[in-house]
Amino acid sequence: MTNRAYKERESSEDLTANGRPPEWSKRNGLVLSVGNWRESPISTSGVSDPLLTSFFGRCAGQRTASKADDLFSYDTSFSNPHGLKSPALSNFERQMTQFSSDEEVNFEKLRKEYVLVLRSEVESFLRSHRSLIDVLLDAVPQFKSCFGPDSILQLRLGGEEADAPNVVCGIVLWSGSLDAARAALDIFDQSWWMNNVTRTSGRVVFDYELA
Amino acid sequence: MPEKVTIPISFLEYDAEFVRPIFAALMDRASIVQAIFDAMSPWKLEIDNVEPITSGKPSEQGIKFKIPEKKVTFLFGAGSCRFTKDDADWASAEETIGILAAALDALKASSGAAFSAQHVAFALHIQPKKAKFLDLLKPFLSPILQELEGEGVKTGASILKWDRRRVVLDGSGALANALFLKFEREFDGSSNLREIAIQMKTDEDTLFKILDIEEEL
Repeated sequence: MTNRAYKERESSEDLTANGRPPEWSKRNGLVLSVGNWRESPISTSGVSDPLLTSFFGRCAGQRTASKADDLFSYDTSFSNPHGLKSPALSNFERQMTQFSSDEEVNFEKLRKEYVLVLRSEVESFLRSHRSLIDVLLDAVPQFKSCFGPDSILQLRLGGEEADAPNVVCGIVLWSGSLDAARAALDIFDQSWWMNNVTRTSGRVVFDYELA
Repeated sequence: MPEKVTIPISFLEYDAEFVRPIFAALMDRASIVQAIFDAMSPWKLEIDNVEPITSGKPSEQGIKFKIPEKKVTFLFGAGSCRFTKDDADWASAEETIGILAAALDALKASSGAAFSAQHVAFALHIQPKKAKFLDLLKPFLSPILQELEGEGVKTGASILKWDRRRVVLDGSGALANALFLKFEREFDGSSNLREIAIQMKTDEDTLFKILDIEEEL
């Protein structure tokens, strides 16, 4: 147990500290303001970002069929000019907590199915590309049916530039012959991967490695 | 040649039992909390990371200190104290011993607690680089029991106990293709932390040799 390198990523610390994925904070200014809304509604005049101004304006005056309706409920009769109700916000926070919890469950599943090479880096990448996790989990039974139930599966990062990985590689460690590995991968491709490759935006590669 | 392995998950547990209960640690404990807080503050212990544990039996209640950055916790109650560290490794052993020693010294000085026994456990989830975990595990499973079903076992465990020592070898329930190894020992209340660390390191080396594994650094 010597010199076990386990790098903490800022992103995972953010996740733990906030109870919500860091990507939201960076990408969606709304989340940054949740704490303020609960205590005192924000003035739209104080919002300089045109996108946010538009969003707040819409929240205040109308009920639309946008995705925002899934996250907030509006009460136009409410004296609050923004029409935001705290129950809606608490619902939103509940959803975010649930979202984080689901993500952790998926990571636990992933760790049980794949050997993660440089775990913190792989997990950090997957936290930035969350839709890949479902694909990787869905691939497991397919992999096992093609390569055998006792196959060892690895996840590692890859890409053209070593210091900027942009794909995650699902690798089967194969102890049989090269021809058998090729045949198994062909079956995997034809039976499942070709129908699912579009789910990954080119960020997943499946292959084998002779062990 | 030993199989190269990585250890993605590891943790350390340290428990010390008091010779007799210190009820001041349950009731009039402000001075003890202050002393431990001051002792652990060099490692960025913050007030929000000090919390009373008020549920459970009296022997389970106490005050818990957490240093998230170091992944350590320290809990003291009326009958014992407990220290844990996640991602424990020998590279950070000096620092870990420093934190634990600071907390224990402050506890002893402020409460008058004396230890009757100290108990240390390491738990490791060990992933082989190439081999199947079952190939490493099988030599330690009873051949007679392995024949029960007439087909290969999926996993298995060995648990061995001595008066003051215990070893558990199992398949990992948390990681793919991984072993779970937990080894623990009881030490006298007077043993110092460095002696304890050296013994635990020796135990780990011995077990790794028996398992024919070597950690990849």
